[in-house]
Amino acid sequence: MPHPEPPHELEDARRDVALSQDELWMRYFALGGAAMPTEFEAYLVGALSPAPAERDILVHALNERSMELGLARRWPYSEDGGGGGRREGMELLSHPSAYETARDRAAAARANSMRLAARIDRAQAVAGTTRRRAWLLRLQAKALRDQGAALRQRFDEGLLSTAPTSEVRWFSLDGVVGDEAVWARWTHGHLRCHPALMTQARLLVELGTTFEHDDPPAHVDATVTGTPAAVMLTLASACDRVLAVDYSREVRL
Amino acid sequence: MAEGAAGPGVDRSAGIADLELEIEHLHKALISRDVIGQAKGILMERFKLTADEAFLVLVKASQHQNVRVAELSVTLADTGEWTEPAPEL
Repeated sequence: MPHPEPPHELEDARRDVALSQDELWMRYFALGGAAMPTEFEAYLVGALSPAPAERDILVHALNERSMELGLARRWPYSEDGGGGGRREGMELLSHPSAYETARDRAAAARANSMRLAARIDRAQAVAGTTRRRAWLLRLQAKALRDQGAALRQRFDEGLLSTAPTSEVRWFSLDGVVGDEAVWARWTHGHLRCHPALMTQARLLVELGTTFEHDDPPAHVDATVTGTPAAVMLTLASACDRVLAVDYSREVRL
Repeated sequence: MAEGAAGPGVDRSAGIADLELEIEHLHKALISRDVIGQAKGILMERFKLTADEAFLVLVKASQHQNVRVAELSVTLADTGEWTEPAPEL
């Protein structure tokens, strides 16, 4: 007559091969195991008896790990008599004390199940937040690529020429410095600017930053008092991210 | 209670990193599971076995050759070659 799984035999085996329950489940799952983590845990602690095929997969996960570690220890498969040999489905434990032990373990498994469910809920909440953040970042990245492409095109077409004689009637720029939204507006020859952006821009000036362009050749020093186009270029460079730039098109810049 | 400035952000980053790692492991496990399923299917068809028997045949070959079941399965699924003797079940 087949005998029930000795209590904790599989759990002891898991400890012997130095794997956490999660790690062992992952290996079991990769080999084709069908039990979900809670049921799997119940197999390990003896609260449930796995079907022979499932037990063989679990045992093989243990044996592959043992082989990996260079250990000689191997656990028997069902055809070698492991787990009570080949039998159909799960068996009820016949001895009263065994029944009580199984009942206690089932209660423990249910408690674990609730903990796992709570963990899954938390993980799903974090995953949801992450997906939303990723979506926003992708959206921002796309907006920035579009802005960058438009700016490059204008620069290439000479519309953003920074020759000393060029003029900009007005411009507006919005961006981000650190976590702060910043802005700058140039109208009627006057610059109004967010203090954090101005600080960054002055830093560029003090560092002697220059901007180069090959075609047409242009060399512009960072400035917050020079021509509007040069100031605009300096302020845009001072932003960690540029969100929007606009300027007058009536006059060639 | 005042929280450390880096506390919640760090916890969330660590949680996200753990989840990403878990997803990567699950992805690899699914690939392995799939290829083992293919190998079992080949053995089932070739030697008229049940799925459980096919798995045990893979296990025996794995022990004989000292190669993981997943690696054996990749070879079998890619080449169709089975160098072990026909199983006696």
